[in-house]
Amino acid sequence: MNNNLKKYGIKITNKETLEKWFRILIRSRIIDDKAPNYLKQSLGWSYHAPAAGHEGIQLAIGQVFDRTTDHLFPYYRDLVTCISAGLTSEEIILNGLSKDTDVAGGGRHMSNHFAKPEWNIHNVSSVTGNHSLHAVGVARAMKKYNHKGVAICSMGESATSEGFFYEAINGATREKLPVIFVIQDNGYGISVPKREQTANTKASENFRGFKNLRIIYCNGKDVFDSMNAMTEAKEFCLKNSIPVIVHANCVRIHSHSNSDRHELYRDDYELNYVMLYDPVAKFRRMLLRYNRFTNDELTKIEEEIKQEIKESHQKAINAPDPAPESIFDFVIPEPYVPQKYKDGLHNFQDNKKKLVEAINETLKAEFRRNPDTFLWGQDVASKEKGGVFNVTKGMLQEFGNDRIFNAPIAEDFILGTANGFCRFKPEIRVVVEGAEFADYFWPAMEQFVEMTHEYWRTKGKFTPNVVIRLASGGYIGGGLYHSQTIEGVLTTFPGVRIVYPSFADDAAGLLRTAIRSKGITVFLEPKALYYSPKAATPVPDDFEVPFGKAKIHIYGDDLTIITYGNTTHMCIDAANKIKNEYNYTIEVIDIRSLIPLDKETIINSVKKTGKALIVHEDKVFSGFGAEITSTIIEEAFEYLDGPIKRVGSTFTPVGFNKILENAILPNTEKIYSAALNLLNY
Amino acid sequence: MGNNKNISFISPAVQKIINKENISFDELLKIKGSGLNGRIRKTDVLNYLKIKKTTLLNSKNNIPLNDSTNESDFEIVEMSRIRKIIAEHMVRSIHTSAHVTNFIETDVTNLVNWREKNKDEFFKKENIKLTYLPVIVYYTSKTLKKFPYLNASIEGDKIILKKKINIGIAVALDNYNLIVPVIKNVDKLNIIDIAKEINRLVILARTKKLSPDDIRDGTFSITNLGSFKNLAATPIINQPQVAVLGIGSIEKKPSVVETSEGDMIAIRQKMILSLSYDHRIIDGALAGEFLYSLKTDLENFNNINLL
Repeated sequence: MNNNLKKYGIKITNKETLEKWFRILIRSRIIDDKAPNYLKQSLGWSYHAPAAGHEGIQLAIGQVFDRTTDHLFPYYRDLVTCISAGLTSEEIILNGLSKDTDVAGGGRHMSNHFAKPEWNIHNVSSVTGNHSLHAVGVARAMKKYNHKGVAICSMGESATSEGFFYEAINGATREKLPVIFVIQDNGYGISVPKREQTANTKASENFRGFKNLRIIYCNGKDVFDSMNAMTEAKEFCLKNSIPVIVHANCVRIHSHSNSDRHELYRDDYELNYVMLYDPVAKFRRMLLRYNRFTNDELTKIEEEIKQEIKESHQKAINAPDPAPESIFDFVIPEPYVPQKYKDGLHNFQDNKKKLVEAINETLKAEFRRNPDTFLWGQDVASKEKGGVFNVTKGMLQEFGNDRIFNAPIAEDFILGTANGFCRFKPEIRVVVEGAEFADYFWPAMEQFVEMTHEYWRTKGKFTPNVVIRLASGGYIGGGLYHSQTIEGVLTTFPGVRIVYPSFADDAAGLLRTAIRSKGITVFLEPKALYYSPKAATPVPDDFEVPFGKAKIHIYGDDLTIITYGNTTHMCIDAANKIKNEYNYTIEVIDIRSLIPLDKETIINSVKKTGKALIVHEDKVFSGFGAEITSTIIEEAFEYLDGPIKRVGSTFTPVGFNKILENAILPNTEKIYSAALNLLNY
Repeated sequence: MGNNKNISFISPAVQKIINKENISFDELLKIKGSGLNGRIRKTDVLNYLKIKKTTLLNSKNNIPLNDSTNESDFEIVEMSRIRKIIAEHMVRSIHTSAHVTNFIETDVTNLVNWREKNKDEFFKKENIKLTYLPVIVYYTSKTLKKFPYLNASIEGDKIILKKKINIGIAVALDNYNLIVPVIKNVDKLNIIDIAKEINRLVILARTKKLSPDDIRDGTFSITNLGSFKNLAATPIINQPQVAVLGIGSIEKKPSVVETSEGDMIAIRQKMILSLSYDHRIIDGALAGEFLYSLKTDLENFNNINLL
């Protein structure tokens, strides 16, 4: 960097600014040193990753961050960053002690994960580098809305080893997004030295081959060098809309955290020299050496800060703890509640529409209604091809490439950027084709889990508003990777709604409700039924289906079948066959929503019939049917007149050969005989 | 059981119905199971209850309505409240006690002669018809004193021996219903008192004026079979008591009488006593001894000065 362009230096920076920085550094250092004492006194702060050795770059991040235009994604070592960005010592201690009034999220997230969502200082995961995708996502929104601002995400150099960090760089450079990736390089990932992370000494060198990327190196231990680097990065980013990596050399003075003992892997020489590099001591020395401050002036400031922290400590200690009964608050935002179709039923008579048409038309109708809607995924915007099954056909043409666009084959990126995108404004609704097939959603699980935490972890301060569409299930001769049903796994995560319609009308109604709702909805589409006449129904234009309302397709007295998705049709066929042959009447319930689950309809039906058969395409073992079974046993045991039985896939992958597929997946015949056995029990 | 029924497993749904509808184990045995290995299914119990209710509502003499094709063949009579209670009590008693009945023949010639001699004067004096019953009640109470196990009840695995002797007398009502008013503390009363008390209770019973107190706390019961010349019976124990005495009609019979001149055939007044008892706590020997003791007292009765 040309010295003439440097804005900050010990000689040129005004005294007022220097004093502000000194206060930030002293405030941070005292808290950083004090934090372990809280644990020793069993008062909290059981996780503390010391910032000592990173102060130069962290001060600079906080100083260039503008809460009115930018988004900041700090990591768990960013104490100075957050204080520099404006968090008070009291707010920091409230987070450390996990108090109810902690502004990051009321003590729900781990200590040392500082945040203030209302200032766009985001509450991030403990998964290292995970938030880089969120920064890319919100930067994408800034660009789409022509907003001048930057997304800054900060992390240690070892976080760049994570695959999704590469996805973030790939996406930010391809889309030319205003993201500053700050790499705080202290040489260690906990105990693993950087030479065991990657071949380059500076991990940022790994990204040299990416087009549209600027890399700036700086001394993260030096306040002025760091300030100049961050200022340059932000100006460049804003001017060119090109992402920047700021690679800051730091030292780690202490252990990784208070669960680590660095003397086990660092020698005395190293432990001594990192002390000599102490950025705070260096800054203080410079202030004195260049006669910018007298020692008395600095001591007086230090005393003032000590007093301030003492008072903050008293207030934080006396602040209320979170109440145990509050745990169920903010698990998932309240959904949109249909007014016209309260139970998600209609008597509309018209031409039947196929499942694929119902989804396509509903997407279009909702995108017309809300201009803050976006859709992305693989294959969704390739001229006449709208998704692998052409579900989004015509959307690119109608809504343009700004709102409907393709994504690279990087499922974690697709989902993670959706999470980030929503942070730009709460009106935004994102629909993603989470993967080409549900089978390929697994790489996105990292971001999926993250997403399910957001609303709860921030105590309702932030929710991603995302509909994750996935073409799901088998019966198309798809083999191991085009036949999977994954809802059994997805339902283990609190914080999402999961729906799995079987008919065109329900698909339209649930999709409309999902897009209008806050929060996350996993919308599973039985792909074998997209073009099936069986799933085709008349669909009212404004149809809505509320979450958690099952639909009874056939009423009966002798047995209840509970099902969803592809198997709904097989259950209806089996029930009709048994009615004709044996005159038993079977109640067939399509739950439509897995989360929330309509327990009432299920329990009432089982109380009436005394027998329950649960059918789904997913594996019986550990499938969602186990949850329904347990619910029935807990709430209707005394009404049971037979064992609860389940029909589903075998505990094997789905074979490609049709003979294997038939043997593995449930079908009408298997349901018929299971139902008959149970009826005759 | 023997028949092809699987009642080793009762499903929660069936159990719930059993509890709600008060279905006895005996009834359960009657229900045909249509499930796996003859298991009784929820629908089986519901069908049983449906038939049971229809039968109770629409039948006479327990003949199911659908056995007859012609409605003019029968008349439907709704059970009175008291009839339903009697029915329920009778069935419950049969299911509770292990019923056994012993019989003994008693020569009551002395008793008959005594009554013939005293009845007119007694009527003049007390305005009450003199019957054999007060004398039998009187001696029954004496015998119960000697055999406290017949003046008892059972609670779980405990036998409750009653200190008071309160004897219930079964009284037939006009409409073939039955009520059992109780003579309290019989052992403290003489025959005249007993006669008066019986008379009072019978009048109250027939005029439906018995108070609840008049029919409770019985410790033993007596039923009179003799009014219609019936000889003997196997009466049902009045719960929670453990024994009931049936008094047969008094009949003249040729009888071998031992005299100082040797055995002779004579015409004697004979009566059969029937004692039903709960074999759970009373064995045949004890019951037999009780009856023999009572018989002996009655045969030796000759104290006209009781009046």
